[in-house]
Amino acid sequence: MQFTNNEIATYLFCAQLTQTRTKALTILEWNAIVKSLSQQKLEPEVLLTINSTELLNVLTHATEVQKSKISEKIQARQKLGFSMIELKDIINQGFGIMFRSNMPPRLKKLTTKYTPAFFYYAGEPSILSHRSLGVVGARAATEQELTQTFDIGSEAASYGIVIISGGAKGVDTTGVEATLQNGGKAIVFPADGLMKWVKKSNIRSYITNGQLLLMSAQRLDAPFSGAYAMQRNKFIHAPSDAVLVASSKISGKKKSGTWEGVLENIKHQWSPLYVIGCSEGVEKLKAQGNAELFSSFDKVFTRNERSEPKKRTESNEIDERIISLIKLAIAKGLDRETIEEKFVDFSTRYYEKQKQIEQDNTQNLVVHEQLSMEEYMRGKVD
Amino acid sequence: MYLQSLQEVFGPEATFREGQDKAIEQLLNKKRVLVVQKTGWGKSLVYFLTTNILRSQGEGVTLIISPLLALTRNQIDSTRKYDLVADCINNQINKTLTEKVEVIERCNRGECDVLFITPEQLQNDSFIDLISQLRVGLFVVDEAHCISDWGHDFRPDYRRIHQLLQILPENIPVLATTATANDRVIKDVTKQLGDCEVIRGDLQRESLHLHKLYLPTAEEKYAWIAKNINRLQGSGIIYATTIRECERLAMWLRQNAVDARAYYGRLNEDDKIELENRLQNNQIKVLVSTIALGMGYDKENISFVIHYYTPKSVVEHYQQIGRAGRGIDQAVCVLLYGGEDENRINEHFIYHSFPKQEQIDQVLSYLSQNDEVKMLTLEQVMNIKSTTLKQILKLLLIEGFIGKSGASYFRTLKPYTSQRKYYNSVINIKVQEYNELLEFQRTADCQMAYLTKALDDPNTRPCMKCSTCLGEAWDFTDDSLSHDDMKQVLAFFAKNYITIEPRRKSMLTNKKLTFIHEEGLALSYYHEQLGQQARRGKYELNLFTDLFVRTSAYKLRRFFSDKGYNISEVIIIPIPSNRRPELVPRFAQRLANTLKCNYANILAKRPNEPEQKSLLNTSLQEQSIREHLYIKDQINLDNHHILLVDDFVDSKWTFTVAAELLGEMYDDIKVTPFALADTSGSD
Repeated sequence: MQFTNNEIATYLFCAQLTQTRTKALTILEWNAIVKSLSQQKLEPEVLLTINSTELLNVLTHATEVQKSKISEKIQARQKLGFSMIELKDIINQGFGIMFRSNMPPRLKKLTTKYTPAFFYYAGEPSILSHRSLGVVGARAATEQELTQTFDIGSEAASYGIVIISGGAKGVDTTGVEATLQNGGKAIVFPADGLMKWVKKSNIRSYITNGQLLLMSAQRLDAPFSGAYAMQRNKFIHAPSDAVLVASSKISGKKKSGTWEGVLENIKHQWSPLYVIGCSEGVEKLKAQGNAELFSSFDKVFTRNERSEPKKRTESNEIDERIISLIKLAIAKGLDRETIEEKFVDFSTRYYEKQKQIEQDNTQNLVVHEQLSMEEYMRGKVD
Repeated sequence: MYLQSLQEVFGPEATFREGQDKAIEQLLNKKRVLVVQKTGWGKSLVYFLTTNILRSQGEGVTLIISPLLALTRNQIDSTRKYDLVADCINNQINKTLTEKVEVIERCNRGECDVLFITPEQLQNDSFIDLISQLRVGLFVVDEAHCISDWGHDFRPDYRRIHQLLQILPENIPVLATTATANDRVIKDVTKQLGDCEVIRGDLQRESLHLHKLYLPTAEEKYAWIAKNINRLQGSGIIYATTIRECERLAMWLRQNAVDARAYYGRLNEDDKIELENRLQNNQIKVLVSTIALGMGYDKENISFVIHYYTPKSVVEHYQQIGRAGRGIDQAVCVLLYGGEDENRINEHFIYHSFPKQEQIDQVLSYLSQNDEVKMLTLEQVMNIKSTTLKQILKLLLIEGFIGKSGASYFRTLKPYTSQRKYYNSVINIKVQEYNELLEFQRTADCQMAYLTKALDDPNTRPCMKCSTCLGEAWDFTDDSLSHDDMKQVLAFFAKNYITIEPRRKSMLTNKKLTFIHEEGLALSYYHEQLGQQARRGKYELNLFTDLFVRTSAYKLRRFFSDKGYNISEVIIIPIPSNRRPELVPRFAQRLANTLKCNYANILAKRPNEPEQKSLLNTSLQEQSIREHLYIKDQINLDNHHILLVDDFVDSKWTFTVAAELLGEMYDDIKVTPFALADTSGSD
């Protein structure tokens, strides 16, 4: 894996790199940089050489407070190029780095505000393109809730539905293990670094089989962190097509991770919620109409494909218009051969032109690799 | 514009040598540069002057990766001339992490401009963390030919630099320098550097007087060295292959009133520094060294380099003779070659440069099936020689197929692809390079011209200084050996002891042994003539002839009296064997008769013991001996000196465990081991 200068710059300034004893840019600071640079047709690689005066002039999209913090952080790391051996080692051991430009549409539901500059991953990233069911729930779920979670996890395998979870004990692990044991696929966003996970022989074999994808925004050897555990709830709720809440408390004095994640989902309307069992949180979700009882995969996943019939009507409409065009052509005295020729001719020319436009666009995309996320989101965020 | 900087340092008359200003310019433009120039061209001028300019622009320190063990006075002097402060991190000067942290902090505070580090530091994770905090303005790789995958020697430390170069952001310029590279190596190094400028000059060293001499036996080489060492002025280095050879040769020279000392990697650091300093200050005449005294040693006035063995390539040879004649006008380099052993040993090393595929597979498959595995466990479950196991682990680590945390190893996610093809191509190149050196032994051309031509130097020309160019006029050495010269060597060989050093720790428990035997004695080396006769005695005749009884008795009498012991008070105990139950006891009995001492056959082995030599690592060997060896007859041996007798000694576990059994059973005893041949390292 060779990295572009933009990617190297992104990693150097956004990775935790705790060994350097310097601070990484936050997501919001990074967004401000990316937005500012993109406006001036600059790319992240300039951060490697820019001096502080130039930088302050460039940062048009940052607040004053942000400006000084960003400038400080960039200065502190600009010449720490040797710390990048970390990135080389990570790749050399078979991990991957997914920068924003490589993130699939599913993750973009998170919006830039919450999307880290990159994820570390272990496994086959294409698992992210499958339909998926998020599974969340308490560590201390009841026997019955766990049994039901296990059954749903196993069934997901036969439906080709990927399970997404946070890899905690209890519900998370039960759902994932059930689906993996039955030949299904899963994505886990653990609350600790990935290194500990891949040291386990069975985890490695699921990954090598292409069944398991581990993802994390934390450095590989990070210990469990409560703050990150909360942050990673988003990574489970946002990309899932539906989320199963198997058991949850309600946050009181002590915050419940599961519950906080669920509330965020409701606020952002990331994905429909389904429940099982009768824990405190589950009852509340049902009562307030924020979640439905999980009945079957058929129901949950057809519901999500409501868009299909719309397409069918669209295509009926097109058929009718083509027929009316043909009728018009006949009325104007054109013969069948001419009508067919014209049709082929026009569609060929149209597609050629389209292709040209697309090519130009992709070139733009390549140039602005790191910025594509920004363009994509323009107008939709904030 | 850099001329001004140059003249500020060296005065208004100073000018650049060809290529120096170009290199500086490229570096200031944050580009990468490879300089291939002989010693003395002024490579350090390029990086010190560049540092000077970069520092005045507020850039970070210059980090120099160099195998230099310590900053030489010369280097510190030169940094001072440039008004720079230099510091270094290596395992000799600043061993503890705290000391290293201090250096890095000094650099980041601006109190140091140039930091030298040794390449092996890069293998250390905590050092990598440290260096991640360092603000770097210029990165210099000295002896850059080592980063070539196809370099003359596989150096994992330099492999790490290769990885570093792939990821280092382009805002840090890189300068790679070497005095020894042929076209192929240059091509490979430039490929690793990426987009870079190559600045290359001619390699002929004017101060060196080369000589080569065919001397097919060890005895002749010893005699030649004793005869010529004092003809050579100043002090210098003799390169030999093994530690034992270094020690024996140094002892021979000392016996000839020459101040000679052995030097090798396994010496402790303090001793190494002391020896280096003494050579540095001309307090000793010669260091007899393995290649451990290698690139890192930069003494200004080495007057001679003698090769007691043939190096494995022209690059290696040019490197090693390159240590001579640096700050002086004249130095002599002699290659002593010939002998059956030499080719066999060199070829063995070349063909065994990499571990066997089955063994690599074995390690990988075990790690795949487990979570984390301790080194100790690996040694115990795997029948692999421990040096080989370490080599396998190092290779796999560097390729990223396994990871390491603390003392444990684990399989990574990286799918394994056999490196065999790569290993084989490296071996092929090594064979080719070795043949080039064998060709050098035979060549009738100018020796310097042959070497520089082999290094693809376009300006190759006859040197008019080597023994080929000078012919009859060569008078630096006297190559005629008299009968008397030889007789002294033979006497020395006959008296020389091959000692058996005791083991002190158990490999199984990692604890100290409860009883440790005295320093023991082996009659011969396995690969030498007497050793080979012992082999025939064991495997063909099932009898050790009277020759062995006589020579053993002669050596043992002297050995014991040297140590102040009375041999007739010794009790001889043979090491038992179920395969050849009579062989060693019969010999030991005859030996006891000759020495007029007591004999007691009290040790035995339980059945079904695997042959020691089939157990490839020391843990398994110790375990097997412990399971099988026992004392069968109880007689009182308190207060006695016991001589343990065996045919061959290799891992020493048999002697170690036997001594421990006896030591635990009897009070106040001494145990001395004796074997007919030392087979260690003979595979």
